Amino acid sequence: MRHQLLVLLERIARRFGIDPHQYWHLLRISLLLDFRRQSALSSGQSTPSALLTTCLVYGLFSLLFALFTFRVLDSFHYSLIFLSYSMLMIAFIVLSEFGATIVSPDDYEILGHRPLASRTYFAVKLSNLLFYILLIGSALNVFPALFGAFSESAERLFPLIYFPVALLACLFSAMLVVLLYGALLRVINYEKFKDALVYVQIIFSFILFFGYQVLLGTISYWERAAEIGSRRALLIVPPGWFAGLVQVGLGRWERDFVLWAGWGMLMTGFLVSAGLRSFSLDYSLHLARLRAATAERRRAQPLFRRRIAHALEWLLARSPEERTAFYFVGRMLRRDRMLKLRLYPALGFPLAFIVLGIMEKSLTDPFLPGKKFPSAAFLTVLVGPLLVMNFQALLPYSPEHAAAWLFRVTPVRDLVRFFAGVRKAFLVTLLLPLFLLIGMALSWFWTPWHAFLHAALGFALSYIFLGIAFLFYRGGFPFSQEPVKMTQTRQVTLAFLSLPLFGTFFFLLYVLYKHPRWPFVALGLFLLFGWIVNRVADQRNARAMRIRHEWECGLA
Amino acid sequence: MSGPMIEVVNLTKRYNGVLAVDQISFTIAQGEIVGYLGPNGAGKSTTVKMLTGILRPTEGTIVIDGLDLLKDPIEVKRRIGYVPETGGMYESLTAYEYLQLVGRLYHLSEEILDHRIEEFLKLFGLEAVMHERLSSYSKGMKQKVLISAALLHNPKVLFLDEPLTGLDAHSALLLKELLRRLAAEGKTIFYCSHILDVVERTCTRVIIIHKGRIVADGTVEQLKELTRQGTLEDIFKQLTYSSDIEELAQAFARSILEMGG
Repeated sequence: MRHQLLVLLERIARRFGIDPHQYWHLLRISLLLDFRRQSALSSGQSTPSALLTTCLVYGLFSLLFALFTFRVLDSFHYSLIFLSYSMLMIAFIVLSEFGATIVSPDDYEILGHRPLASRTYFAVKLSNLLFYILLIGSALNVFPALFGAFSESAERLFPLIYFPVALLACLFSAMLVVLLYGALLRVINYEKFKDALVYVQIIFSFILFFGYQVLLGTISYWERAAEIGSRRALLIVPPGWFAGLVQVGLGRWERDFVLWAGWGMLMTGFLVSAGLRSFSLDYSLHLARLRAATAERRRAQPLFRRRIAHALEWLLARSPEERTAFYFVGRMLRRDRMLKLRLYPALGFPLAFIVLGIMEKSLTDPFLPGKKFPSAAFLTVLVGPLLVMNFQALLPYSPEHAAAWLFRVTPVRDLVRFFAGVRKAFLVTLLLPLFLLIGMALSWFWTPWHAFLHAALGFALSYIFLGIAFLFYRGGFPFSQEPVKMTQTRQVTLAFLSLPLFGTFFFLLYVLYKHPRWPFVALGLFLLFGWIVNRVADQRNARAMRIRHEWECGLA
Repeated sequence: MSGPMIEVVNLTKRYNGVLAVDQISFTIAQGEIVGYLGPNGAGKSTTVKMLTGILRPTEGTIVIDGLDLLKDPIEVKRRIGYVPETGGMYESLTAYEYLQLVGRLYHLSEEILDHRIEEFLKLFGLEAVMHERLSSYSKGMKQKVLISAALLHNPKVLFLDEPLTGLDAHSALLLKELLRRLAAEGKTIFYCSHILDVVERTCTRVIIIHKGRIVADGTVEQLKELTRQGTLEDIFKQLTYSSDIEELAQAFARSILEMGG
């Protein structure tokens, strides 16, 4: 029986142009590689542990979310909300973590000259991705599935129906992003593909982040729409299709549910057959073209701009070590594909909350007396700690990690100044311009000096956060470790857990806003405290680096 | 002997409009060892990557063992072995696991595969470390594994891009002798290198490429006669360098010494 099943599967695979023998061995090896890869210098930074932590944290988020919603929503809206959440999270993870899995010309360097059909190669890549998606999708949906059984109008069958549908929705979401890569590979000039992909991913992540925030704010809209019978608009919202499928699975054969479910199945079928089949056929060809892509020659910066940049470096980073780190990290923040992809989408956060604040009329000036807590004003500046936590989590990793031997053989005498340079690069390149922009944006709605004072306080608190984050930094020299699959998602997910702490901080700050002089005093104190914490963090990191270096030398 | 084993016609590769390989054509017969020489950036590795199916040519045709590489890439790839210049392996695997993966991609039977892996690694002196991860290997040890991987499926054509990189003297001698024996058995070998004396001693024919174009093609003796030079090094210098190497080296040394420190 088992043998017959294997023969049948092999026959199906061959029909799709996949060599089952090669597929099986390559898939086994690709997962083995993921699970073996471990950051050389970090302790316990491996894919299994990162995957486990990410799944646990996502499971916890979903549990809390489900606890708050299962008694107040009917089974349809409950499914709609959780399916939207899962699909967006999956799309976000695929975009930020698995870009290199699907489109990796480096991998092609190893296998490109082997007799491997394009479809076999693509099937291995896709299966590797789906393995992670199914695990994360399960973590995101197991509690919502269980709690859904007790939601309004649900039945005991709900978990059995919802869970597989949710996994199907996650697969749909992942495949949609994979197809986006495929479409990009087709339309964009191959020589510019690598650079272009970064920006497209940033824009796409930006839209996702923004869309997610807006989605939460539109729950009431969908509920209203349901009441007045205009739910047909859900035909353009993929989570709506799968929520309809859950209802059909529960035996509710209403016309709308059947329509959405049918449409969803049709779209899924179309996505898999038309899209993936054609993409997989040209997959190796695309990778070969990518392999040939070379970076475009950049025009040299004008002399005037170079002089300004040098003057800025000289002013802000006086010692050679500090200047080296400042220059290096500053350039990487502008050029490193992975870093940009993981950091810049967070900029959608303030934009999303400003738009939501306008929509919900909560973007009121916090310095003026008012009855309602101006949540949008405070949420907008949460981008600071979010960026800080992401930066701290991402700093040790880079695809160019092998080049970090340079720091180990060159005489970096003053490690304290070196780490000061790292932080300053982040502050000057990213945080300062961002808070200036926030100040400018808010001054459109508030008295300008209120807007800039609010932004300055946000910056000062982020500065303190930076020091605290660096107190817990264990990554060694910047960009010195190999990126290990899932570790960054884990780090960033853990970073989210610290946001309530920052929120509490700001709520306390709100009290100060009601007094004319206190915000200025607080600003001064925050900057002073930030300077002290950052200084202590630099000394701690320098000491840790020295100990690590001695340990490595001892080992050698 | 039937037709040529490798036939390249008007092969061209452009990167961002810049010509890396410009309309090169050559044929290589079965059993030949051809040295492919050229200065840095001349287009050597680009040619090899096109010949092995890693890069797609902008123009031109490649026929290996009578099969068009662009039309039938899988069949052509079954017939070739390739030792890349850098990287090209999963370092989280052990040597045994890596070679096992490669063999399975060529559908070798498990019995033959096990036997060959053990034999090859033994010949290269790696049997004691074959179950250790490649990340712990030295450059030369990795190179030996790459050479083993290229030979595992007994290919008709071998493409070698700087195969002696990192090899110790004994292994380098072993490889050179092995190449001669393989050529005598009818294997065609395309040998890409910078090391002129090795090419002079190992290859039956030399192709020199400069700025993407073939500037010389023939046996070492033919080239010596044609250019009236005594060694391959002199021929190479004459065909590929416009400035005086001694003068350049002197200026370089002066610049380093002037810095002091």
